[in-house]
Amino acid sequence: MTLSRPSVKHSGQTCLVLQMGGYAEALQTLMALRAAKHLYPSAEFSIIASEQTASLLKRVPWIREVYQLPISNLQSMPGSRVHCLDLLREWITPITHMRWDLVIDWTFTEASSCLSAIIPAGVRLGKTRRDSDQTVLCADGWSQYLVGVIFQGIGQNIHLTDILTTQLLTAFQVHVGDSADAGECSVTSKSFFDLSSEERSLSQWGLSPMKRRIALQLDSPDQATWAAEDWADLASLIMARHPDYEIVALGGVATIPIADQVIAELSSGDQCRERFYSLCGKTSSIQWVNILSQCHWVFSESRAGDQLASLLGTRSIAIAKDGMHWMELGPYANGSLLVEAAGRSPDPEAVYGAWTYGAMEWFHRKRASIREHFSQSGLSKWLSGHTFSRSRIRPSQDGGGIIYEPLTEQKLTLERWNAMVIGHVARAWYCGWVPVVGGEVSRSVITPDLIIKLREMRESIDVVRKVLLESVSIAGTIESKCKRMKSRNVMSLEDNKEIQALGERLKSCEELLDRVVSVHPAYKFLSSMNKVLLNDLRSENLTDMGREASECYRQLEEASRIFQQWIDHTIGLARPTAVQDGNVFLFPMTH
Amino acid sequence: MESELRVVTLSEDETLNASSADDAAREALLAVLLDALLGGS
Repeated sequence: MTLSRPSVKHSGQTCLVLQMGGYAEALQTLMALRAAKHLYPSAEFSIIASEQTASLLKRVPWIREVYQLPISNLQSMPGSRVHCLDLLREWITPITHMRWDLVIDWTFTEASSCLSAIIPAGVRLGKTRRDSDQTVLCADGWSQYLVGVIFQGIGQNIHLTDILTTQLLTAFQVHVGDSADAGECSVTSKSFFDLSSEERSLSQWGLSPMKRRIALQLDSPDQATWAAEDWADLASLIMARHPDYEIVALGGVATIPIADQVIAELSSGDQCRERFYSLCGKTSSIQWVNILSQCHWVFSESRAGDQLASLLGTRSIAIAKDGMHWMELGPYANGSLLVEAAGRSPDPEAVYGAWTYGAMEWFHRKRASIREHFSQSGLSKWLSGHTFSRSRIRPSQDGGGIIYEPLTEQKLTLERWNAMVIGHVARAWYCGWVPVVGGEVSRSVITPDLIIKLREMRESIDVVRKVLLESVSIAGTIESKCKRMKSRNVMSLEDNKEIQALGERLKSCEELLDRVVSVHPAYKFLSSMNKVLLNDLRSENLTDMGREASECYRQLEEASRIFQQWIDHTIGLARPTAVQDGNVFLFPMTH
Repeated sequence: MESELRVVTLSEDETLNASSADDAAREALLAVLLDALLGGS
């Protein structure tokens, strides 16, 4: 993330963030908050946090207050439910007595939506509840996008950190005013967390301050991408060829058996076991921060590890899980490398090759291709079946945010194409900045298979647009019909029948949209957002509901138009083009 | 400007004057909150 340096002072806005998730979510939240803090320095952020992450969050110097959820107290509470409610009431009262300008729910759960509704606030973002009947709804557009797209597992290409940052900064922009805009700087730092000099020591672990160090960030067995053998293979490769490095395995208690197995694998034939340290299950969160901040690289299969490395500025090699939406969840830093393999986990040799390529960037100045590097390193056979990407944070004039640039040619799949279109729609809906249609697609990555699928989709997009335009019109008719009624509470039987018939027509349109989606899952985005948008209608009378619904369908119709433009553009790119005279070189005929 | 306004769907007048849920609603929400916290959701 790059940010403009602030020079405008605003009166202090008090913001309460509800982040009750684990480390990955808490660290992601910090990244987004840091961006807002940088641009609006007088803003004061407090967090309601889970018991797991509260102690770590308390070490961020610019977080004003961390309110830890009293889950353990509630669970161990003897006696009745009444006592639990008393305890909860007692815990929440000081929070509700504060004046919060902004309450941001970034947990998106049943519990967080209740908290958001209970705590008085000037503005709410995220999930909250209606005053009238306490049903759940999203307070803003980006939250609808998170619920309708990301939480549904629909691929899109905007990083979650960028979404949260943009959501927050837009709220600031609307309610506080513009931030200053001059220069760019990184928001990551080795000193992101407040550690004492004793806490910065590595001596208790037997680690050498003089050695170069690599961390292996393991994930719990139910989430792990790699087996212990894979980690052992990687560690062996590094230690055999790079005697100046020591390796530290990091992870929670659940990763101890994996680390033990890695050590067992290494001890059976490896001479370098003394340079391998397993600290899995041994470190507090602050010790984890300290060790990772003093590593040169981290190989991570854990989202939390990626996030922490990004915050601390430690370079990372992300070992992508099959099917992981890394475009929205990958490491958020310049120069991180991401390795993935279709339908399986990446091979240790491929991950090792990606690391040596990244570690030697200063040497080849990014001029050597990863293919050449693998060839020179004797690793060519590990190149196939893998894709390699490097992260880059775009300057704000190019739209900002993070992108993952492919290091090897990657043919454009329908899933990836679709993710680009949905990202484009989100920018058109919620940002002032809209990219050029298909600007990031080149002819060389388009496959005949993609074109066949897009041609099939082109036939359906007309139907989708007509259905949505029809829905706009029906909802508009409901609005105008209800507006003409004399009373909002009583209507004639005839009017009632007519409105019911219009409602049935809207239902048919929705069913038709769902049928198109069942044939072309790429349009699932539209039906999913349709459901979220209609759920979040705020009005309680038919006139306003008709107007709001009409706006929702118009918003979706705008999205369908963008889909259509992308389909036309991509198919157009693949069309054969006439060879220009100037590009033809005639070889002289000799006899 | 149109796209910005869509982001925060509450209008400024609505939100700046927003207050906490009334007491009955608050108690109902606290009960849901308790169940959710103990149920892990």
